[in-house]
Amino acid sequence: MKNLGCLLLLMVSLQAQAESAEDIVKGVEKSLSPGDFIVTYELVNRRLDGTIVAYEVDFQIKDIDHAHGIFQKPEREKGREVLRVHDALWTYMPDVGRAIRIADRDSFAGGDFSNADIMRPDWTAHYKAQMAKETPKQWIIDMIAGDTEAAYAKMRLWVDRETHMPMQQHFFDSSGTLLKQCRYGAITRYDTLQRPARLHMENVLTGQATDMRILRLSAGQKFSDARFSVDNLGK
Amino acid sequence: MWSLFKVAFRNVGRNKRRSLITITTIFIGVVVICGVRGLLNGLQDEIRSGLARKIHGDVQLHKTGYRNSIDTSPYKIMFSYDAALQAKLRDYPMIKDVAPRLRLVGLLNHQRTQSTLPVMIQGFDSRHELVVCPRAADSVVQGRMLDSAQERQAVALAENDLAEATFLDAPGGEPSPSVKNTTGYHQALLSADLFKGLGAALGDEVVVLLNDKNNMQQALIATVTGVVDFALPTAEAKILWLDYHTLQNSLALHDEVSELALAITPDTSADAAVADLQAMLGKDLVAETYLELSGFLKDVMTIQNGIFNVIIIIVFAIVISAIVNTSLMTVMERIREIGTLMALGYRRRHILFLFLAESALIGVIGALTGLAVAGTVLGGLSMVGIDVTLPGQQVATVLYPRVPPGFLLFVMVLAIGSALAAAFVPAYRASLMRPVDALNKS
Repeated sequence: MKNLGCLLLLMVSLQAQAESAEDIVKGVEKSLSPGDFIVTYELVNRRLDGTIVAYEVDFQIKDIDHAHGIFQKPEREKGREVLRVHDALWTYMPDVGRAIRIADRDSFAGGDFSNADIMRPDWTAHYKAQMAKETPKQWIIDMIAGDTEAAYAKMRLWVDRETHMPMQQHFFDSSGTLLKQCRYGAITRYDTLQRPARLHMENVLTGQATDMRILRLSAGQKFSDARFSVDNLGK
Repeated sequence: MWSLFKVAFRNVGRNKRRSLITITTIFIGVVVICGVRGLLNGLQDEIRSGLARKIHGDVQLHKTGYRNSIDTSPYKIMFSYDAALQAKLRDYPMIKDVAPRLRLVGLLNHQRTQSTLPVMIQGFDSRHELVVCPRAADSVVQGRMLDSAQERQAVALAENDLAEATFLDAPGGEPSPSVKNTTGYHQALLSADLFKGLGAALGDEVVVLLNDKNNMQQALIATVTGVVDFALPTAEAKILWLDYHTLQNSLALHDEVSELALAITPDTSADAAVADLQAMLGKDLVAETYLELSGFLKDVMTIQNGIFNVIIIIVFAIVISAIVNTSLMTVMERIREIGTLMALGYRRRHILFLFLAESALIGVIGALTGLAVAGTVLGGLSMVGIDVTLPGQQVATVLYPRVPPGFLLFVMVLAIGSALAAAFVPAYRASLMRPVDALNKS
């Protein structure tokens, strides 16, 4: 009877651990994309030839399925828009006045973040989270792609146990080759929301990197549904 | 009739200079035709050999729709090279070997210059590939051929790294620690254009980025071990070759292939093999010869043959006009002789026969000497070969001219036939003369 009790306790404990990996990732998702917020990102693409290209993009993010961004800098890109509506992703180029469908896996603004990295951190929808390792200070969680919508075969996320903030993320292909690594920093409080204000995404295969910084963030906003319509791009 | 032959022989020798000019005209015509055909055959043999022995193999098996989808939807046209198909092909006596291949489109990143280009990626197993395409190794102009036995699959070191992380802005958090990614050894062959375009060197590291069938990005790190130049106008200039099994592992493919290249036994024609294979395999797979796969070069050869036929017509038009001219002069000079022969009882048909026999004799002499010279020269060249390597081309292109016996016979018949055709009108006019009128001509 005692043994059975121990076994049950172990099973419950294992179950709790599996759920906690999922919950931890959901918590991270929530901190990165809480919904109903306006954010201005600065993205700096650093190329190996020394070229540095900086972009400033204002995003209105209603929820995980509705996001709209408009480029403010540089002057050449001003007015360019990106729109996510559920699984569809569009870019609008004012020069040609047309919306073009793009893919989640495409690079965002020619940098090392993909469109999905920037506009849709809904990892738990496409990956199965499992605890790879727990240390006194960190959770190391593996996320294995569960469907064909996932941009990577596997991701590994390091989460600080104290703040529940992401610290580092690795992106792998199916053979285990590390494609990119993202490092998080500058944990900042924006009203009721706390999240990393700096992200450094490095393509470990090419050696190029992109830095992302939050310039402004305002949570608790309300947006009109019309903002998230392809027909309203450019208006 | 024999006496007419003897007269004809004597007449050929009577006006040596004119006969020599006519014989020389036919001789030149025969030599030109044989020479051009011989060189053209050498060139077309080189193209065929290049296609079959360097690139395609004798015959290829594809899934239906291969040509339309290979560049846009490479996974759509893959098919299973499973044990059943392997056994079927193994049991087929005309097949020497089967080389499985993968064809995909991806991005190639050259690490040293950080250039990234879209490339056509081809995966092959060198153990089978070099049997099916034995000249492929000769096309490696720098470095060495990919050796599938030397491939070592990667061990993902980064994936085993579970060390604690630090925040980016923590003390010592920047720069990001360098990551030892994977071990393993993968060889990459680059086409000459790609190698030059990237400014690559042997031993350089390249990263191959490609999407698997779930459209998920995969990466392979490989070392440039060789440069390939087929010295043939192929459709794709930017090609990267990798090991077939390495690509399979990276893309989580099991036994799928894009194409199967087959070497057939020397005594079997590619067309016959295609017909047999098609009957055996049914409608799911399409068997095609190397020529069908290279529609452009097949068309080029058809055009070459068309131009050659025009050359034959032009050359023999010149030959015929020269013979007509000399035959007319011969008839004009020998009108009294024709009258004498007729007065002696020779009939019109004998006169016709006499002039035709003379012309045929000249045709035979011209054709035989032409064939003897052309045959000897082409025979010699077919043993030593003619180097026609273009400036800048890294692979020597050597043509081995040859003319099949059937073609020599055809040229012989053509030369004699042309001589007879050219002489017919003057000979016929001579045969229509009345003896009295002929004898009266001064």
